[in-house]
Amino acid sequence: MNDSDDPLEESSDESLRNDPLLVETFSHLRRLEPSLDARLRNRQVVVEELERLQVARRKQVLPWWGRTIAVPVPLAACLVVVAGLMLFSFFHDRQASSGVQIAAPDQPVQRSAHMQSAGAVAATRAVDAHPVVEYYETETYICGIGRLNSESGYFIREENQ
Amino acid sequence: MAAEELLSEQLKAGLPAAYAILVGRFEGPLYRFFFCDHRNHHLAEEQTAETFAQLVRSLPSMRGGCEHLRAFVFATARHVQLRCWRQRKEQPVPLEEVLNIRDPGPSPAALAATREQLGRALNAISRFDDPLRSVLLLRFVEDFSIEEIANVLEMPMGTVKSHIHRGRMQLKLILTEQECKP
Repeated sequence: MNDSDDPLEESSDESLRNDPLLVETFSHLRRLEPSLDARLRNRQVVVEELERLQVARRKQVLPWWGRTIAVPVPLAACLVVVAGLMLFSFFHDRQASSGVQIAAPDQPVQRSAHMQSAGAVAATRAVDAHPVVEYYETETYICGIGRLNSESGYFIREENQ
Repeated sequence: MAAEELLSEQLKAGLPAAYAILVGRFEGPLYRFFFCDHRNHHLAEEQTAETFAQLVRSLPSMRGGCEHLRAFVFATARHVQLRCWRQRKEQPVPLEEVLNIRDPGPSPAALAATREQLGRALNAISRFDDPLRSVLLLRFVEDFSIEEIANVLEMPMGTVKSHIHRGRMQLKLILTEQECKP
């Protein structure tokens, strides 16, 4: 202990050792002991409490798939948003790479795809003799987030008869 | 020291044999600690049992090794004592009732102590308010170090030292007065 060199404490303890009155007083208090009944009850209380603790511990032991962990709400919300965005990005890229685009049925994305076929060009030639200028706009939305992609422009079709 | 470390580990693991040793070692000191506080024999025994029940629940989470065990036990007793103070606003038991205590136990030393001497000692110690009374009891009856008392009572070591010094002086005055009285 670091209190051994304290003069205040040293004088206190030294006085106690040399003072028969104080020694006698505290010796009487040292002799106080609990009754036999109390001793037995203490042991019984400890045994009961240990048993209760054992039962509680047994109930708490769960298999690994039944255990839970605590995650802070902001972190959990961030994880959910990130997971949602990743899922969206994954499906969006898959659709883009497969040539399928999200668009309204009357928009020029479909139309341009339609115009790529030679048969369709020939059919159009037969019908349209004059240049046609059309405006198109393609937008992609996701519910709850908003507009993700927007594309607009003019589609000019001019053919000679 | 190794045996103490082993005991500490076994207590944390919840071994019944280790708790039997703990009870045997601390039931006397805890009983004295509570009894000197309010001088109520039955309440002191209840609080001692309650402290042991609390220790079974809290000892597995005790930090540190065996050197902290005694301070931990009495810190738990201190919590039980404070809770009891809050719950029961009773007046202390009169000294006459204390002196009518039956045989406090089988200890030969306890049997040898006369009721009068015990009553005088209790009367002297009860003249002090808490925490001064607890400091004196822990230091001079249970032989706690200054650091242990500071841990139990959650106060700085300097305060404990000044309490010991002041309490010792006052106690001597009280005892001298009692000696002078017929």
